[in-house]
Amino acid sequence: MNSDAALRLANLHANDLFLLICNLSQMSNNDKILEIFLRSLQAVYPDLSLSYLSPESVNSGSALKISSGEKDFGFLSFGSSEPGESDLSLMQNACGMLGLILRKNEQSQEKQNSFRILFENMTQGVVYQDAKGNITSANPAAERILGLSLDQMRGRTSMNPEWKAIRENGENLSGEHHPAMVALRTGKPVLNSVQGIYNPEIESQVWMAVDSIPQFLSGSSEPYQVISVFSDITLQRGAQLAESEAISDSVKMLDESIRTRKALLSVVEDLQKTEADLSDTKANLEILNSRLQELVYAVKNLSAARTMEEIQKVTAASAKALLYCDGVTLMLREGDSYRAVGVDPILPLCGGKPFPLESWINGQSILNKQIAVVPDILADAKLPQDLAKDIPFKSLVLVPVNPDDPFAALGYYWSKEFIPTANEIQLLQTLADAAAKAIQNIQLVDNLEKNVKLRTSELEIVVKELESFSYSVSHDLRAPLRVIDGYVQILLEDFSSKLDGEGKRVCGVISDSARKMGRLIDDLLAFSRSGKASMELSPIDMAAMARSVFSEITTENLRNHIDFSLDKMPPAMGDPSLIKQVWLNLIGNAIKFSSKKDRPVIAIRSERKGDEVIFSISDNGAGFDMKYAEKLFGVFQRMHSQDEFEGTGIGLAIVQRIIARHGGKIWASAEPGKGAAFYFTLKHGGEA
Amino acid sequence: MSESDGMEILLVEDNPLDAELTIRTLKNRNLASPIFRVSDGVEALDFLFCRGAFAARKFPETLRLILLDIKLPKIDGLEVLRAIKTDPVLKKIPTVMLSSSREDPDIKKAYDLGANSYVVKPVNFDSFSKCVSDLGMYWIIVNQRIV
Repeated sequence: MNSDAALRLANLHANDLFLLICNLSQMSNNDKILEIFLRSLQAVYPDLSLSYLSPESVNSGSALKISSGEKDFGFLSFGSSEPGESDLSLMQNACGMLGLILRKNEQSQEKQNSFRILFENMTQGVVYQDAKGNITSANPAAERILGLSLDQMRGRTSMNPEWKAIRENGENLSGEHHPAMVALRTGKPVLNSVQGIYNPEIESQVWMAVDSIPQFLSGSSEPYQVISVFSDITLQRGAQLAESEAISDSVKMLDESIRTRKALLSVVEDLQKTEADLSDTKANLEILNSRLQELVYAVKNLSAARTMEEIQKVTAASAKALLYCDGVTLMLREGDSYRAVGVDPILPLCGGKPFPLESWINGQSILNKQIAVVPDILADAKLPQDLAKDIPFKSLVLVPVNPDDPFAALGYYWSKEFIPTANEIQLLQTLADAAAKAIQNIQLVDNLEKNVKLRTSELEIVVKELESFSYSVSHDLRAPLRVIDGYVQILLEDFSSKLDGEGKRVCGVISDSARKMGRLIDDLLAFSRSGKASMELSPIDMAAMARSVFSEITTENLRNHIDFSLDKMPPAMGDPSLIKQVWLNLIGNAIKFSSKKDRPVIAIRSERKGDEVIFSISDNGAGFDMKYAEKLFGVFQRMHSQDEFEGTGIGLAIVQRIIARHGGKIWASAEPGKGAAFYFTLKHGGEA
Repeated sequence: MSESDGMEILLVEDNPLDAELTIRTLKNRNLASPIFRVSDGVEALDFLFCRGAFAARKFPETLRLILLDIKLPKIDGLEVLRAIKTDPVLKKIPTVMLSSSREDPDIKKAYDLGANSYVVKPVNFDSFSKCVSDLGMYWIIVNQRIV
């Protein structure tokens, strides 16, 4: 499953769960990746487990389910190219953050649960009112103290005259002075205000101490609700009024009630904070998620980049999408200087020429292996101000590429002031790390190409030397031989009367040897030609070629003497001049070694095997002992003495070399006195 | 009249033994055409363009065949060939390139420059003498020259 498929699958299952997309790849060991994920998740959330969504084992990517017991929490998808250390660390961060959310989510739920229990069972009344004062919720204690059911209270405001509220001194307490309304209006808590309210249930006045706390949504200065917590102090108040000795007790109780209310309020606040925190974390994760997605694309595109310009473009596009960066330069180190690629408004300033590393802050970031943040380019002394004033950007962040031993730096430019957070710097570094991999790949390919070119030119020189050597050999060794032979002939023609039989025989030996030497030179040259640098492959009509070779090397008399048969044969793919050399040698051998038979028989056949063709040539000649078969194709190796059959011992070496260069095989079978058969394979030449 | 006047075949050959064998063969085959031999490219050009040692003689109008070895001292056979084939008069004289080697990468160049024939001298003297006499026979007797 590739990363795209993994993503789709994860999306399908994700619903409203978190989806993390992480970039990883070509890591053969998925279990190791899982382990890293799991460890970083479990560091913050020990109960989590990970499992593959699809049962198949995967190589390049997959979706993983993150769960705790029966509960599914999220999905993790990973895939794509070139993983770097920072990809892993980014992933670990993401996993860590996911775990944090899961934990906070749970904490929040726990708190809500405990608050719910407290809310239901506490002796203090709690009433929630919205921004307009409408009661939205109340606990059973509030129902009891106020003598109204929740249904009766819901929608009622403090302004309702039925409350019949009075101050401590018995004066009427109007709705707008009710602590909840004051808290809403002023945005400040109103604490420990005492009031009386008519309870229709018991048909009498109830005294209570009230704390009203306004609640705010994060980022808003207007309260969106107010929580009032109150305790019934009718008894204490009655006691306070009736008996003075009970005063200290009732004060104690009153204090306790205040403390309880305060504790309660802090629980409520904590709960609110947890929820706000949770939603912040969720928002952070969403940002992180989208950044991860962007990085996945960037890494994918970077790994496909083949030039420094492409790397600069991909990095610029990615930095723009990630952090609204307005331009990116890629500064490549070249020894003690650097040269910039990219960002059109800046290139004309530096003219694409190399600058010494220590001259600008750009180079210094490479030299010092440090990230540099320049909030205001014009205000930074490390930039040459005569140039800086023409740079149409405000802020610059320089990130060394390959921080341990930087061979480049990325300059990220913003038109408006931009100061990155630690996370954002990490993001820029991650992008730089991905670019590092891409740059190294390009440099590797460049080096390989250079090496190949170097080797090729070296080889070309060797081949040329060999060619000129062949040329000299053929020229300079042949000429004296011709002279030897020629002068022996003169001797025989002009001085024949002075030579006796032995003299003439000696002349014959000299002449024969000179001719043999000539053949040897020709064969050696053919052997060296069989290794010539270039082969031009084309389909060859093998039957026609074999037939014409046979005619070429035989006289009509000889042709009539030999029982020569040739099958219809499929075309073969090969270099025609080299394959002709093969037929010349093999047919020549067959004729030579069968020449002592009364009726020489030579048969050429073929058999197709898949995309190859096996050609064979057999004769009924002298054959050879198969125990010497391995020597057959060696240079200067001969199976027969010169007395039996003349030869240089090079022919089959040439044949084998040519067949091997065509990717084919050659072998032989033979029996002394009964004949030999040679087989070789060539690629089929296509439908003819 | 210089000794080179009235020559019908010019042999440009640096190897005196090869030259001797060639001349001997042509004579033995009763090709009575007078043969003149020069031993390098400079001499060949001097002979053909009537300059240097040959400044006193007039243009060799009787010349019917040039046998030109490809490997020559000073100026090589191909350069001589180029000079012959770019001269409006000389270019009409059949020029046969002689080489010791069929490996010669110069075969194509020779034809490109307008050689009339390219012959590899066989090692075997029988073949060699047959080859040389065939050449003489063909170019002097069979071939129809411009009248």
